[in-house]
Amino acid sequence: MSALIRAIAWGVVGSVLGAAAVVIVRAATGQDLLDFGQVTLAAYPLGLAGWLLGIGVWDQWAREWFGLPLRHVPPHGWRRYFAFTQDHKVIGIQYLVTFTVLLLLAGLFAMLIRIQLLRPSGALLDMNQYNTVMGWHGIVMIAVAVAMVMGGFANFVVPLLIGARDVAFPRVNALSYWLVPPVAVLLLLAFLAGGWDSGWTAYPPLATVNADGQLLFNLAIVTFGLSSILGGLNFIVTIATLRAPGMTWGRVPIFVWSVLAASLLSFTVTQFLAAAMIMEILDRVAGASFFNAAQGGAPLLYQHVFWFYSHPAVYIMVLPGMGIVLEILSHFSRKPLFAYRVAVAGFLGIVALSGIVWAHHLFVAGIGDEMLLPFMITTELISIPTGLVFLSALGTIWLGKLWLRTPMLFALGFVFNFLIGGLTGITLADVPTDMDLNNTYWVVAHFHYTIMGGEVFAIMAALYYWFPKITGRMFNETLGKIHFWWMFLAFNATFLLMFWVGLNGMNRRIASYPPELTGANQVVSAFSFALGASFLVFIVNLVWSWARGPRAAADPWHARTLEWQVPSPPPEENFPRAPEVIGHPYDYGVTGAAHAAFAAPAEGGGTR
Amino acid sequence: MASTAIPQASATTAERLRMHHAGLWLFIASESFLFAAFLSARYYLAGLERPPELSIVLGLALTAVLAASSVTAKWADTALAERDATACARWLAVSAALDLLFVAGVLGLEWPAAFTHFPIGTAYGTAFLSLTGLHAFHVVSGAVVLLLAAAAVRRGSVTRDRPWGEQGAVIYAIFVDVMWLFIFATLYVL
Repeated sequence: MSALIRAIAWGVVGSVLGAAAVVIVRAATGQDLLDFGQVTLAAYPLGLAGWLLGIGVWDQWAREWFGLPLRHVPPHGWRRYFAFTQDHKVIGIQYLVTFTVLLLLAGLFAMLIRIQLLRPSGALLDMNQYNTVMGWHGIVMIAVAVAMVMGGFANFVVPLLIGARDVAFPRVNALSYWLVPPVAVLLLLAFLAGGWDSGWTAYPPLATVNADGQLLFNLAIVTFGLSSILGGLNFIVTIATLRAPGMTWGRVPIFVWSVLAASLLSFTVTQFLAAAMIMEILDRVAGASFFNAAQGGAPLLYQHVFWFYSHPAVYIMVLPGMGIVLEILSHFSRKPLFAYRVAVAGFLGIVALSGIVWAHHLFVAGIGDEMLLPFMITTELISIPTGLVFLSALGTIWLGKLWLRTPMLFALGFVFNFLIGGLTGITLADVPTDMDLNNTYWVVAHFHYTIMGGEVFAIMAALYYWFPKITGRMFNETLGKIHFWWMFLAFNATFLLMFWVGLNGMNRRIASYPPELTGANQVVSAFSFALGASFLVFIVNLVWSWARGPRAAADPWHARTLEWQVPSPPPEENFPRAPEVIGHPYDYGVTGAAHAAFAAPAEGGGTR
Repeated sequence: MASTAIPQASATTAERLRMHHAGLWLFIASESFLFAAFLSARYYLAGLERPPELSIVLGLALTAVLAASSVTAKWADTALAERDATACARWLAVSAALDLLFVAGVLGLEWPAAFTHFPIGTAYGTAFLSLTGLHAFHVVSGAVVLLLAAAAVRRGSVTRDRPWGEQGAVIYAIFVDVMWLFIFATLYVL
């Protein structure tokens, strides 16, 4: 905790120094003392540097540059969760807990949105508040969808799955996590600075002329992007260089492949999101005119740069979700993963295509007609690699001996929901139908089917699946099943109806709607409250089980992958005995097959 | 199975150096995307037009300074390989000084000259400000890591057998110099 207090203190000192420097310069040059933009741009980087140095970058990293001995965090006890701890398992849990809290908070914001939409002219918030609430819900849910799996599960599980002691760069890993709290602080401070009424997409010209909260939003996103980039880079080097002996590329667990695929996207295209934010900052603070059409700028430029990241970002979220689902489907169907190589090809195909589809978000924004057909074709092409992943999923379930435990139910829920999300996506990739459906609740329902019905269901599957490994305790199966069916039914009721609302012309992002849609919206809201309530079962189950659940065995699912071959929770050094991979991870029912053997200091290399 | 060992826990110095290099090259690839975004923005905003007032002589002079800093950085690399820590630290410091000279030239000469012809608030001014500013920021960060590396080499904590601190700084600094060629071509030549 002392590191946390020091980090806050150094962060405050850094911010004050930065702000003071600007005020002094402005005083010396005879201007008004305070300029929100300039003060923030000086205070934030210094404050961020102070925070990071205080939390542990100084003790465990920078001291080395000055020839001083490093000071490390003791590896045991609850304090390590509040410190710059380098153990990937600790960092995984830090991410998981942080983003579960953010998931629930952003879910509460969704409830606010649905309360507002109980009445055509709004039941609760004024228009600016509504826009900020919607923006907060959107951006935080996106952060959750990106970081819960890539920061949380991938961190905890990938080194275990490939038989490594840790990730390639443990300090960079800790840095990625500790960049996150400043993001949350900025997004909360943004409320105090007038909010940001441009929503989570932050389109200019509004986003360059609105309240000061927008600048804090921009800085938050740049910071989160940096965290995401460093995380992606770390996983690529980890997976490329730290696989256990014998783990050839053909024996890499499918979840690891999906993390690799998502990392290839996140460490490159995230820079475009940063670029979009920096452009807005320059327009706002430095008087540049990227987006000011009156001075030769082009508002459409923002949409190009923004969607060059934000469409692939959907795959940064969904690819590891697909990996989790394929992983679970194989273990719980007790069958080899069907068409493993085809699924990997599907992942890589999605990565390759996702970079050339962005302009389908601009079909009605005024791009040239000559761009419509090419982007329609590339967007529809992406259904081919996605179809390969579905082929693998369905082939794995086919004639399998399905073991319908909670993780499996959520994985099957993903397959069902994502199918609907994918099929309705075609209507938005098609130019003629998109002309009509764009900016309606049809779009909202579509992407909630992919991100919530897909990614969040995969997150839930992963939470239940790895819960015994992470906490060392079993969750309550009955409550888990109640959670699944409640959430699954409420989710589908909410969002299926939203398609209908969208078809009937309700615009998205707008705080009011035509009165004739009142009844439908009230039903959607009612189902959405039921959906929100399903998370209470989840909270009770997880909190109670983590504290009081029965001790988990090393391998409660009888799965073959490496993380289940060590105790639950895994010891600090991960593998008491060094693993050697001797076969495919999913050869269930194959006579004589084994995934790994273990070196034998203790009891003579058992195989599994 | 005596050869099996747990990856990362058992990584040798050479393996760690390879990992560091891989990580840095990925970071460079990532940063290239950031520059690519701003380079594309310049063409999107201003097409292939270029204001005639830009002084190519000044641009070439700045380019020469930066090119010289790449050469001296490479000399530092060679000096370390020959176990000459003093020369290595000296060339690293010279590189950093040339980098800072370049930034001074950009901020002190190039900007005042350029922005009188096309103010920041115009399309070309915006492209010019963002590209040179982003790049200057990277050059300064490169100078900082070069100076940290120079200090580490002098102190003896970075040596031919543990060369990461020096090699990483040099690779990054040269990357930033190479990136200038794209920016120079985009702003002054094309």
